[in-house]
Parts: sequence; structure tokens; C-alpha cells
Amino acid sequence: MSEVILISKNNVEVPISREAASVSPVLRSMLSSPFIEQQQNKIELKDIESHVLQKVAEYLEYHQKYIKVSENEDIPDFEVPTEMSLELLLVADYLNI
Amino acid sequence: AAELLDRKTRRISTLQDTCIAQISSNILKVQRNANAGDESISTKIRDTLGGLSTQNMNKLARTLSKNRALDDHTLQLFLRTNLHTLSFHDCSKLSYEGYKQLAIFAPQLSELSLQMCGQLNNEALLYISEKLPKLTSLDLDGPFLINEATWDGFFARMKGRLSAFHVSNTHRFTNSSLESLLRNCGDSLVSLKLSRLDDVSDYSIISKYLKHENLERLALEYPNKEEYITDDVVSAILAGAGRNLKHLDLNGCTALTDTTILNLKDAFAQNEDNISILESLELEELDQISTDAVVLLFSQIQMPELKFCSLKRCLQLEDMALTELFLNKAAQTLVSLVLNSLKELNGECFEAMSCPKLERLDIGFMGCANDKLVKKLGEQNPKLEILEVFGDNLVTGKAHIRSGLTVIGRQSDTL
Repeated sequence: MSEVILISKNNVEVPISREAASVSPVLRSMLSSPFIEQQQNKIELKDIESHVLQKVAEYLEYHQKYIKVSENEDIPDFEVPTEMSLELLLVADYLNI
Repeated sequence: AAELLDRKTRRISTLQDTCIAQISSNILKVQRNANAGDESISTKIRDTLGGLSTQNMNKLARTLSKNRALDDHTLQLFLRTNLHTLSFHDCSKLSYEGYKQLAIFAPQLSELSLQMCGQLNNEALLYISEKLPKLTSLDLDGPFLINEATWDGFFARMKGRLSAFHVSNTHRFTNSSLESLLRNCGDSLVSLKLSRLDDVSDYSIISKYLKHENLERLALEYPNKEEYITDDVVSAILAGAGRNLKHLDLNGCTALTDTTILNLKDAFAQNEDNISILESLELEELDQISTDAVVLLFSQIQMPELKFCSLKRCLQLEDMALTELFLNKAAQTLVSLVLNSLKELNGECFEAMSCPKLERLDIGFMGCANDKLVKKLGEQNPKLEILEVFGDNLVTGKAHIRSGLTVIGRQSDTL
């Protein structure tokens, strides 16, 4: 399983699996063939604060993990810290997740 | 959508939904703990949620609208700010109380756009005119609770300060409402849009009031019956205010004929060097206008400012009309062009096409579109980013597409 690195404002690197990154249609397109991100395995998201990007990565992994579980199993709620919710909403809209 | 077709139910909520749920529940919590008259409540809400810059406010409004999550609770986020312009794209969940709060607690607003504002009632509209002293521009879609008397009262209050008024999708806006608008605010109006108003039949009074040269934008769209907007009606307006128009939009006025196009030409011919300052021209569904008239317009009037042009479903237009457009100065400035459903074209016009600034082009449902044309359009228009080819069954997966160009609507493409 290959890894992709998301880079936030102030150059904080957030590693994430390629499968998880592909949950976001925006990141998935960036990782497809004609774009430079595909070769470098790095995606620069310099408008996003590092703590928000961490949370995004957490959600992507969470989505990736639970998307395949069977009908009957319980899925825990994804926790969003209150003080981050507005910023995170705008980022989630941008990434279409 | 693909999931829906596969009969899969979505069990993991999106991050956007999660965030909105979190935001809503916290707004409720803060509201419950605060006193009703507490001035700082909105600030408190915004601080609790992490704060947001004014620039991001309209972005937030768009995101909430997109998720159909704008309601009286989330509205709190936008109150007590210094916002000057605000656009809500989907207000269907805002109650009349919400609008009243908006009017009271956002006094800096000068431009307000409320789309799908079905619950906006008489009281709330009058509140808006009363409590927003700086309001100069109002765009309302679907205000069907507002009655004649209220429109009249509203325009009387806005007398002298309303510079832009756009209204669409209501059957309660009548001839007398229109008359009241023009009588009270006609002198200050710079932008007027009337679209899908089922109870307006007499558009001829517009020309009686709008004679001044300040009018920049005129949009008359989709009258209830086509005979309500005739060549005479449009010509009278163009004769008075036409030559200074920057935006003209006559979509769906299907009774219009070549006479209107020729009158448009004559209006601009009054300008020095026969130059128009039109930035956008929309003539969708005018199925009676002919190639000859359009050729005459584009050959005699140069349009060096034209950025957006739509000739969608002007079914009679042939290649000559488009060739003339591409020879016009407009070709150098066009950013977006819609040629959807021009079925009489055989493609010759594109030989002359070279638009250095063109970014979007729609050639959907055009019989002559094929792989060769797609390649050619990409080569001749270096900035072209989006090409729509819906319904063009000769455009196949084999088409050569320049890098940087996205072709949308090919049958061979799947999601």
C-alpha cells in the first residue's frame, strides 16, 4: 500500500495511504496520471492549517476503514472538535468529502 | 449517484454533514444558555466554532446552501458582522423570523441576494427595507408570499436608493407592482431583471420610465405568454437606454424577431465608431431570428468588451452568423460562448474561429460536431478549458484532446 504526503500551511507533512486519499474526488484526480502530484506522491494544500489537515487525514482514514464493513456492524461517529467545525466545513467542501 | 444506482445505502456521513451537524447543535446550545437579548450571542457562536474571516463568510454561505443546511440556526453565523454583500443560494429553510433577524442584525448590508426565498413574507420584506439603510441591490428568487400592497410599500420606501432589482419566479408580482417599481425607483435603477413573472403582461411601461442612460443591465426572461414581450416593447426600451447597456439578456422571449436585432444594431450605431460596450449578450431560444440579421449586427457593430455570449437554441442560425461573430472584435475578448442546439451549422464557421481568451464553449446537440472539430477547437483556442459536447454522438472516445482541455458529455465517458 503506497503512501501519499499531504503538505499543509507552514510545510507540515501529513502522511496518508493512497487509498484513503482517494476517498476525496479532488485528491483522487490530483493523483491520476497527467498531474505532477502523481509522480511526486506529494500534494500541496498550502491554504489549509496543519491541525485541520490532520483532522481531514483522520476522516479519510476513518472513511476508508469503515466503508467496507457489513450492514450489521456499528460504525462509530466521527468526532469533530467544535472549535474547528467552521474551518473544517470549508475544507471538506473544497475536497468534496 | 453511482451508489444510488447500485442500490447501496450510504452509511458513512460525509465530513461536511458531520461538520454541519456539529455547528447546528452548538448554535442551539449557545442560544439556550444565552439571554434572548444578549448582543454578543452571534460573536459567541462564531468564537466557539473557531471563528471565520469576513472573506470566508460568503464561501460559508455557499457551502451551507449546497448542503441545504441554511436555516434559522445556521443563519446566526452571519449576524452582527460587517458584511456588505451576502448571497444565499438556497433559503428554502429560512423562516420569516430568520429574515427579520437578518434585517435587524446585519445593518451594513448593501447587496443582498436571496434565492428560493419562499418563506419571505410581507412583514419580513418591509423589515428589510426599513432596517437595512444601506441596501441598494436586492435579488429575490421565488418570493411568492409578497403581495401587491407590500411590493408597493417596499418600493415606496426604497425610492431613490434602489439601484439593482432582480425578481424571478413569483405570480404575485403584477403589472401594478412593476409600475410601482418603475415609478418609485426608475430614476436610480442601473440593473433590472424580470424573469418568469406569471402575472406581468404589460412590459411596455418599462420604456416609459427607463429612459435614462445609466441603465447597465437589462434582463427580460421567459414571459408567461410570448406575446407579452414583443419587438415593439424591446425596441422602445433599447431606443431610450440601449446604447449604454453592458448586459442584455432576452432569454426565452420567443416572440422576438429580426426587428429586435436590427434595433439593437441601430441603438449601438449611435455610439462613436459603432462600438458597443456590451459585456454579455444572451439571446437563448429566440428561434425567429435569422442568420442575415445576426450577420448584420456583428458586421456593423464592433463589440470589444463582449465576454459572454449565448445563442443557445437560436435554431435558424447558420454558419455565416457565427463566422461574422468570429470576425468581430468580440472574438478577442470572449471568455464563454454557448452554441448549444444550433443544428443548422455545418462547421464551416469554425475555420475562422480563433479566440485567445475563450475558456468555456458549449457545442452540445450540434449535428456537425465530431472528433476532428474537437481537436481543431482545442488547437485554435489556446485557453479553452471546458468544452461541452452533450448530445454530439460523433464525438467519440478516439477524439484527440489537447492537454488542459476538459471535454464533458461524451457518450463514451463513464463516471
